[in-house]
Amino acid sequence: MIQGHFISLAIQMPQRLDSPTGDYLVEIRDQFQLFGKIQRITNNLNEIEQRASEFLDQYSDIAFLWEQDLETSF
Amino acid sequence: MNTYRLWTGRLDLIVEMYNKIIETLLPVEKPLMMERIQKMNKALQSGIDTLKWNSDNIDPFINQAMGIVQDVDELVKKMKSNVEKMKTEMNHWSETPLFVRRNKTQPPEDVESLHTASVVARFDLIKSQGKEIHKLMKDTTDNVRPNKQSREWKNYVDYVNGLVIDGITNGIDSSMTYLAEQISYSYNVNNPLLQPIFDIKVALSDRKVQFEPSIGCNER
Repeated sequence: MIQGHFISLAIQMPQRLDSPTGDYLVEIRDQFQLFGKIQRITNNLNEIEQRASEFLDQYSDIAFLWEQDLETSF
Repeated sequence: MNTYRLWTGRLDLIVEMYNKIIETLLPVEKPLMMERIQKMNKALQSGIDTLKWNSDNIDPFINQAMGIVQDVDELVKKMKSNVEKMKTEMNHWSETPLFVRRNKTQPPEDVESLHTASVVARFDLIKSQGKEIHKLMKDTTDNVRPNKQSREWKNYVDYVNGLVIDGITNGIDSSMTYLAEQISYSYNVNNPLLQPIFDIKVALSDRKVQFEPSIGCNER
């Protein structure tokens, strides 16, 4: 959502300078400069996801506590 | 003697203005000024070819040349100043990112609603800055009075249009750079005083440990 808002900057000019209609969305979507930044954000999100996954893995040894039914186990 | 000093002083001024015009015009600006440059050259030609210090019509020559060169100088300054003002407007887009991290941790839905509200306000401001850019472009058009169908004018509009695309790109880029930094694991580890942007919970649900709200690796 936030990245979508950033890209919406391209449609905030009242109109294009070279045309009475339209916006700058097409040009902005082709900006190579921004591809790298999107990749960086994605990489950082992936790292958070991986760290969160590692956090949950700490509890895998005792997962039987919530995965197994108490009545069945004993 | 004073007359000569006055003449040389005014001629120096004319030469200085003329040279500055020729040296500072961009390849995309020069074709728009070509007729005016030719008019300046024509007005100055007699000073190069025929006039001597003891000629009778030095004053009229200097007055005419000064008037013509001054007009072109002011026009070029106006064009360049309008472009600089446009750049100043667009610089605002990258000075403050569209997403701002708050000083305290908030529920995820509040982060979203606060961000949306601040973006709406920023977009209103950006729209008004966009209108100002259009006004500046119109001011240049009104002063240059170009043939709008000419290749020269279309090239100039393309040039300014390119500056706008750069301004928008830089605005988005700076917001993305800021966001990337704020969600970087290492950045947050190295800045322990920063409050989390939002909290997520670990909860047991249906015999599964889950993050709430969910993230990619949600279930265990």
